[in-house]
Amino acid sequence: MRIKERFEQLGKRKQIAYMPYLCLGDPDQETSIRFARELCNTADLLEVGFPFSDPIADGPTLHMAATRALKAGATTGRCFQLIKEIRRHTQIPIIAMVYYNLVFAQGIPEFLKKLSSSGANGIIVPDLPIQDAGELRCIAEDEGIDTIFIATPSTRPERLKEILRATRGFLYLLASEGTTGARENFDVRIVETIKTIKSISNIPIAAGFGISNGAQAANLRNAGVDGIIIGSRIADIYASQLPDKEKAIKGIAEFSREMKRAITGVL
Amino acid sequence: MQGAKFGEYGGRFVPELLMPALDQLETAFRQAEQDDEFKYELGQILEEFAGRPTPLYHAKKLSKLAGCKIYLKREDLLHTGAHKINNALGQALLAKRMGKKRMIAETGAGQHGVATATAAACLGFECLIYMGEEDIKRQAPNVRKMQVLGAKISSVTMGSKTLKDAVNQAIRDWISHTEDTYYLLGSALGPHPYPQIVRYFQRIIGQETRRQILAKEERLPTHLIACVGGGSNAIGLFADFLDTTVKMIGVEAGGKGIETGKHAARFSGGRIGVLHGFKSYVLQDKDGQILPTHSISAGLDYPAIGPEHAYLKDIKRVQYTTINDTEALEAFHLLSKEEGIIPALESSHAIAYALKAGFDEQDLLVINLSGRGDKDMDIVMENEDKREI
Repeated sequence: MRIKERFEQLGKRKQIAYMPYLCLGDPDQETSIRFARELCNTADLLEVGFPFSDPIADGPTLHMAATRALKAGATTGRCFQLIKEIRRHTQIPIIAMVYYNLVFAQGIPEFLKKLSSSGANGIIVPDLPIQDAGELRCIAEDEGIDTIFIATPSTRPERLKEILRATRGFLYLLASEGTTGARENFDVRIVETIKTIKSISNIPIAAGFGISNGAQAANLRNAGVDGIIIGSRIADIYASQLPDKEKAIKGIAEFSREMKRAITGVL
Repeated sequence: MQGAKFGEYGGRFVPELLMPALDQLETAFRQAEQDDEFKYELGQILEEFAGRPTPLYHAKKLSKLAGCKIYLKREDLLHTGAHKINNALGQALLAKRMGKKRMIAETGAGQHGVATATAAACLGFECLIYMGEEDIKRQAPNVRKMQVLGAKISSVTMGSKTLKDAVNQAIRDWISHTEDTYYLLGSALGPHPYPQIVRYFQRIIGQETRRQILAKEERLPTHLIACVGGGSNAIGLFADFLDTTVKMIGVEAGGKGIETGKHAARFSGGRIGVLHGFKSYVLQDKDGQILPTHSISAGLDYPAIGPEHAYLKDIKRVQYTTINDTEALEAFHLLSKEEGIIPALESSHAIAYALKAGFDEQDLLVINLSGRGDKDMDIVMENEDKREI
């Protein structure tokens, strides 16, 4: 289903989205599918990362996840296969997070065509600024893929407006300054930023980077976000259990249930 | 974004979090460029602290061997022993102007790290240098120098543990600390405005050279030659001659030979891609994963070439070629024995090309001697032993 539909559905139920992130191919193709299928049991949307050798927007946890995946033989082609496989078992929107060089190397039209065929619904390219995303946005629209852009609490007001105009599906809002990585504290400006965004646009807001527990998620929900993205914390959990795959899956299942509870809140 | 690209190369391919910091940097740089006081302060520190101007030296014996007149631009005589200090001091003054208290940098061979640590000590900044674990091992003297100068060194153990991974870490650090931290990028690459900033601070090399060669020879050189890692010493020499018909050659690291895959020849072995915030020629596999590189000289060992060089190649203003490890080592020994100058292994690539290319008697060459080779003695000795076996 399309991203817009999903948020509308959740909005009607007065729920916010649980959006876990998984690095494809970590620690190997097969286990990655199992992790993804487990996450799909609780996820409202699923974000999947294409492992890259030089992921500057990622902290140590996700960089190591990418390194493991590449060591295990992850390729762009295999990532598309994984998405296809995940798609076979779920209807929820799947969003690819991929560094620009991996898109550029295939050729933008080719990459987006393959992404669309694999069953994904959205794409986030963290190192592609809006001013250089013209071709990507155009072709993605034709392929039925939402191009999601990122804003931060330190993004200037004029630029924030531009980003809001450009983004499709939802706005990815950074919850903390820095790279990905579970942490304790948040950028306090985020509450103001959320208010500002809501006053300009109706597009759903998903907050990510650094979220690691239910309390943080609940706070963000109260501040008005429509979705919570969690990546590093999940990777920390399964990485700490490997090579015991069963324990790893159990770990992320438990965590996901806990987050879902915190996010949906006590009514 | 004006001037953000060199033709289709360059740009600002970075996470949104870095946009405000890059905007701030660009504004500060544009203002400084126009400020006479800034230019005066820069001129003073380059002269009295760094030792500019550097001589343009007629290398008579080298000339005889090459069959034409060769001048060496002696950046090796600068304080800290390489051209890197020009950029480090310039950007440090910019950082001071911006009110930053903390400075971070990446380093491969260690020369930029030493230059940054030097500028930080001179101008009063807290300083942290990111260096790949592999590079720390092979450039130990520079590591010790940085520590003695008061800088902290963070060993990068992720990825290939060399320069590109140090850049990744420096960028990540900056992303998390944009308010109080200045990222002193060491070469003519990175997201806009860095390539322009670095060119601005390095072009003193070419400015002086032009004056000096005209004074000595009453004509412009026929050829300029420089080694190209990131591209800062080359663009520094070339920039002030781009409006002439002087021919220019950039020499990349051929490593163990292009066919072995163990090199850093971006034009021969790479294709257009995006790395570390800029679009240029990058050594990458078919998926776009960045490849490890090799050169006997750590300073040339980087998978992407500065964007302005990619543009200059496209418009055929500069010609690019490669020299391998063996040829560079031979040139190292030759310059040392014939001219009494021990060159950095990086600069040795440029010397090697001058000897190899077969110039005419009428030609007048200026080669950028971008650094001295003290830091390379261990590596050279290591290779000596290999040769004896």
